[in-house]
Amino acid sequence: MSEPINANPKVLSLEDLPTRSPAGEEIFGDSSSIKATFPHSALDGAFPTMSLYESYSSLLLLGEDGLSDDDIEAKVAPELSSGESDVGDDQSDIDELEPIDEQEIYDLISTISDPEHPLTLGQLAVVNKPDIHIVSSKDANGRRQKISRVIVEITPTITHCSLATLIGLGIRVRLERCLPPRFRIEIRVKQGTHQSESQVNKQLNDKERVAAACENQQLLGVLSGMLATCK
Amino acid sequence: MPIKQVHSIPAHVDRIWNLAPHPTLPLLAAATSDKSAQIYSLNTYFPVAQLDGNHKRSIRSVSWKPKSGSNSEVVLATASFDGSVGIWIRDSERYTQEVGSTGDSGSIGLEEWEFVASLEGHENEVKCVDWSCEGTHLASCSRDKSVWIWEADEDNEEFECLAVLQDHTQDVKHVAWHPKEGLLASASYDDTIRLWREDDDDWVCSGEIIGHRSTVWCIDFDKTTSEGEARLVSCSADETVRVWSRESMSSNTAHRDIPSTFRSDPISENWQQEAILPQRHSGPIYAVSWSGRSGRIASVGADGLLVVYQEVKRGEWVVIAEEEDAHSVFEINTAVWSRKWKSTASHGQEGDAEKGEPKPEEEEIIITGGDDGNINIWEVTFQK
Repeated sequence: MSEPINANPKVLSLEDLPTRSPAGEEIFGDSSSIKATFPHSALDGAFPTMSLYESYSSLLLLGEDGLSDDDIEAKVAPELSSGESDVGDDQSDIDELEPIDEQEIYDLISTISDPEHPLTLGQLAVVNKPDIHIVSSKDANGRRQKISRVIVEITPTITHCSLATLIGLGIRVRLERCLPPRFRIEIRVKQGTHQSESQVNKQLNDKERVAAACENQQLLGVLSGMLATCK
Repeated sequence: MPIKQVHSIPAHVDRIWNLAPHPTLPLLAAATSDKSAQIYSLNTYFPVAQLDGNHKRSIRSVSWKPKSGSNSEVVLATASFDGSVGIWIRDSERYTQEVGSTGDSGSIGLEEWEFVASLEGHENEVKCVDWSCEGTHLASCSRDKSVWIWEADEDNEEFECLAVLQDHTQDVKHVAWHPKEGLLASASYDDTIRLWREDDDDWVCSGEIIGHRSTVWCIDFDKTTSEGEARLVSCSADETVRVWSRESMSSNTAHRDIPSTFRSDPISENWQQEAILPQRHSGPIYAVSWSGRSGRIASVGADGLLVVYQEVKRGEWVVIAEEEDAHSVFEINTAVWSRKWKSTASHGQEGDAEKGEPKPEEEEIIITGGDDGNINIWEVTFQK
């Protein structure tokens, strides 16, 4: 069995993660609240015989450098987008005015499980609320444009993390399933946090590759495992 | 200049990936995310056939074989994420009259189609397929970074692979044949466009176009160029649409019959950027189409914008029409010019009254397909 790629990630405690408090005040987790690091031994028993890294790399044909262009393919499989995001009529244009904020995006994706650790992306600080941005633009007449962008910057736990594309894909699939279609989702690794930053970013935002990946049953299985912890 | 939506066809799928009007018949093919290709009549906009059951994953691209000489069959090629190219033929026995002319053709399945061949060889998703101008060759490209050139037999059942071209360093997104020459162009995730032609029984890379700063999603040739000339338009994730032209080939064509081994630089072509079209899009531009009638260019992309450009003088382009949210809030994956088969009510009457020869630009439509699963038909209209 292969070693986990990052055996000792830093872990944030649940109560320190940002939430929407009853008063609407936002609470941020900060790095001083890191309470524990996971000893390697604690993880060994937690995984099935084949590590996720192995299954992931076998199905996506990782290159020698651990991260080839073949890593990610993907897409919005039809089955995936049949939920709320399917509404495209005028009613949804009105619904859209109900604002979706960064906290809501954070709540949707911070509960995704890491593919390697029995922890969420929020706990591992892969997803951080200050790195989520919603950009709505206005046209020349000052009207808000229908289409908005959601930009999520992820922070891989280590700079050579070959699971970065899988994590990014999980976030994209989660958001595509949950957000109305007027949102354009951009997933990037945060600047300076990954050695193959531009390659990972290009893959994660290539519509055709994402679409094809989401037709891969094996990969979908891995993704649904990651998304199973979402509320 | 306003642009007007004249019709919308709900295809009842999650995504339209690609659309192709038949070069000479009133037929439209749609590549969809539900593993099928759909055929519509451009006279009625009704569905006439659904080609399904053979591909195991999304169909990404469709291409009609041009009719030429004795070849009278109606043949469609489909490229799928399942790694194969499908060849389909309309059953001429059971096909008796122009579908739609009876007026009651509202249901799918009026035409019988036969799946006659599956072209295997690509290692993974096939992203585009295109027939050459005379219908003798078929090009396909894939995430496996290769472009394949196939030769078809008379019956369209046997296909021989003539070449596997592997010069691209990343997946190949699009292939397009020159409208008159045996020249093929391919666009890639490696940000380049390559040109390919046959040289002494070998297919070789005859040119490379570097300039885009991100994935080149789609390319289309200028169909109105004179003999020996070539121009193409490309669109990219770098949010630009660019026109490229080939430097004169006269010096090369003169030596065409000398064996390649005796030529110093037998086949290479130099391509120059002629224009960056006025920048309107934000986000990746997924499709571009160059009209063979009016010479106009249309582009669509993730921002939901449909833009029409016109060349005012060589290399100088202006935007003549723009439509926001052309597929509501959805991304648009494909746009293609087509002959207008069905006249719109008001327009048709005017034409009849005047009895004048319609201008080429009044005889064309733009057809777009998006993530809303709709096929929209557009006309660029004129103020008189």
